[in-house]
Amino acid sequence: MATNRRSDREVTELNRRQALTLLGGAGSAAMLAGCQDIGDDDGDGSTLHVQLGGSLDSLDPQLAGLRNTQVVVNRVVEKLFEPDLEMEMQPVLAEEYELTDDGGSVIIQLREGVQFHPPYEREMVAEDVVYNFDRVSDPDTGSPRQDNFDNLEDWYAEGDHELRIDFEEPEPALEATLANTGMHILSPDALEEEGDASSHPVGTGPFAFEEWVTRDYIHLVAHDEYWVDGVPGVEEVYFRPIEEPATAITEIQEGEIEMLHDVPLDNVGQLEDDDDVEVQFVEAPDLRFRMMVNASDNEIDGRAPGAPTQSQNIRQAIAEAIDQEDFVEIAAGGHAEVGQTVYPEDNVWGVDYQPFSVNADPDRARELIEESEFDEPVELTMISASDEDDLRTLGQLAQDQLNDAGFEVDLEEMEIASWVERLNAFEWDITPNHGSHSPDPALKRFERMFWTDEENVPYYDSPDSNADRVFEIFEEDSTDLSQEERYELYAEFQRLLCDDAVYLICCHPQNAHALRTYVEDFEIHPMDMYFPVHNARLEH
Amino acid sequence: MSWTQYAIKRTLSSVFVLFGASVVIFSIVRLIPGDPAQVLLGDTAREQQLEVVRRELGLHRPVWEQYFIWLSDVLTLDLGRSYMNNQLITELLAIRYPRSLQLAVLTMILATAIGVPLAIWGASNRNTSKDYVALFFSQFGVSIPSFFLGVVLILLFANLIPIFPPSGYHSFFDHPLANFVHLVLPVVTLTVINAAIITRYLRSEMLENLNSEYVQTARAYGHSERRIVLKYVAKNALIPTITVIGIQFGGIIGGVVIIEEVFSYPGIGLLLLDSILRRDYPVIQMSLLAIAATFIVVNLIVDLVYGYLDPRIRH
Repeated sequence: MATNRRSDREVTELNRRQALTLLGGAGSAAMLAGCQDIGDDDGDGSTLHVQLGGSLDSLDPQLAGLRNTQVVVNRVVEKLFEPDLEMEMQPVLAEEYELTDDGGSVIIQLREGVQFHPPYEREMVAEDVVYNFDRVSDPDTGSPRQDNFDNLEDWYAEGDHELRIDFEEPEPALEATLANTGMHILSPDALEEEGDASSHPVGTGPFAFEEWVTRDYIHLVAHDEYWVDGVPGVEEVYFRPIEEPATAITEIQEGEIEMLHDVPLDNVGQLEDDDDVEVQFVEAPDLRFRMMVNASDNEIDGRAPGAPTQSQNIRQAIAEAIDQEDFVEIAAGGHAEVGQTVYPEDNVWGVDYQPFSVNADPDRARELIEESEFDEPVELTMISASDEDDLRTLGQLAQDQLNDAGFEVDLEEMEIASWVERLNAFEWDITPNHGSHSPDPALKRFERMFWTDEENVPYYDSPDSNADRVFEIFEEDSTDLSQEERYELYAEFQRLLCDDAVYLICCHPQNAHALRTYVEDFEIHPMDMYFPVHNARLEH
Repeated sequence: MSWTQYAIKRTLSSVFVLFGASVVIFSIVRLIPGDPAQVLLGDTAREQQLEVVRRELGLHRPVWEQYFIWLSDVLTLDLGRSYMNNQLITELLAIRYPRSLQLAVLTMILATAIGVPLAIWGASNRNTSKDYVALFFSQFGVSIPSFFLGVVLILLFANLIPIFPPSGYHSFFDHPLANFVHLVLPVVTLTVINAAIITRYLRSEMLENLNSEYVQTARAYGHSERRIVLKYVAKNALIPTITVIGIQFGGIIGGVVIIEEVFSYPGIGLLLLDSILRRDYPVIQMSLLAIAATFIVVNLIVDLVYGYLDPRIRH
């Protein structure tokens, strides 16, 4: 009997072992089978690895919203014009242009011999530009860049390399309009074949798209038929999203990657102390840390009637409470300049105008509150997007500064989607923001402050403001004005905006990239979306 | 009830749980504030543009209709495409899920290999320096925030003593060694935390068993302490610990967002995080469903093993 029991147990134990082995084996097989090839660099010295500060939403430049997408796709898909390192517009796919006598149309000669990337290789012609313009301007496409075409009435090919554009009104910033985000020329063949470009953009740029594994890497390869000889300088580029600053810094210091696109400004000292790493800075005309102040008195559900920020005194008190030097040091690690107008002072559109204290004046802020109909502490609702560190810093810093100057700020941090919803519901008084703007103030891309149609309400329309005159300038046709007259017009625009304190500049941060010292020929672009990675070469 | 009957019953109930999970997931995703069209188009989008995109994404339909469309698509294995970049969700999950699975499997193997012996060692030497070592480790592991430990390990072993890469991922099949070295730091970070939990739980189970009557009986029969601890007590204490290990495993698959962020490890956690931030409903739903399915399958396996090891469970 004992022998039988042992024998039974042995059988049972054997089964258990078999079962566990089978389970373990099946699990391992499933796990390993799933580990697909995700692509890799060959380490041959012609491959560049670049960090990005965040992920991408899409690779379709006509539909994408995120800056990182533009950083990558601008080197894959080109536009007719692009600003150079001096911020002067240069023809890219265009070669030259001529305005008609009345300024109502332009004839653009396109560059000949420009080839789309494989497998859709063929020469780019004017009909391709027309196809892309039709796509972006079509409301059914749902492009956020549709407003680029507000002043473009019609466009058509007048030959293989001749494009005609008719304007609603003479266009004062033609080159800048055609260089705007979303004016990219994608391969129509690829769009027809693949439906859209959101996961496979095909253009004419120095790099061709190879592969995108979301949140892992974007792999670009050199376009052999690129129309500029000797460009790009490397065979391949891998863009890798790395958000954690400690990880990104370690990666470049150890040489795992060669370039940081997004240098964490408050950690810059660590990189500058490293002999193997160079940090390049440049004044960025399009970057600003700012506070948007809700001046609307619209009767919208979310907007509290009689909100304090409808009063110009209160808005100016907010401006007096803001310490710009603090923002420069804390939010931008010292790599920024103070300024209170939209464009930095030494920009071509810059204005030397600072009506409020740079270092904060809480006493003056309190005086302004006293002059208003509100009593201290003035309660304000600040909403802030918590997804990005610099926005959180801006919000927290501003909250502290305002609370020291007669305000009581309720700071509500939320992720970006909720922030956008609250923003559009007008449920806020003040909100920090950052980002870029067009290099030319004539381009009507000043957010929704200046929307004037019935369905889209601006938040800058309080009677206690200079809004009427500001809107008048904004709508004014400046085509016939000389550059000097245009400067004066937009200088007035900036001064009025500044006085109204609806668009408070905290500081103008610099654009910064870091690179290993063996990366050569790379020079930082003032606008970081035009990251000139195609010029970089590796000299080991 | 035979084990086979038990297995069939548990499997069927798991299918119902998965269905319930799909309803909960769909509802929760729709309750998150934020409009996908607005996120897609940015804060400067106009109402007319938003309306076009909402219609294109099918968001203008009633929520119940959206749910049934989604459910029928999932049942026909059409997982759909991302709102943001139009990528097939099947492909996104096929790439990302195995990476998190690999992370979870390696972590749990290591955590079990450390946690189980440590707990047995500590419990069988109660109130001695050996027990204090086990206690210290378990307290340290459960107390330290994972993101902090991750950054410290990066600074120590990728920056100060650069022996491991701080971030990234390589395919096991193409570069087995690179795959291994890239996994070391995230796996160690997760292992410390999970091994501590196993140690803590198993140690207390061990102590409870060591004080029970059957152990005193065994001692009275003259069995050696080693035999009592390893043969009887550890075996009994390990049975409930299996449940904890199962839950931890599922937790790693779905809950390593922070670790994936710190080490830029492109697993399902980061996919889910990005999708939530962009309100990419189809990807959020399928990622959550994949994570829920993992939990359910792991728990099913645990229950089946449990039922096999301890027949009382089946009744």
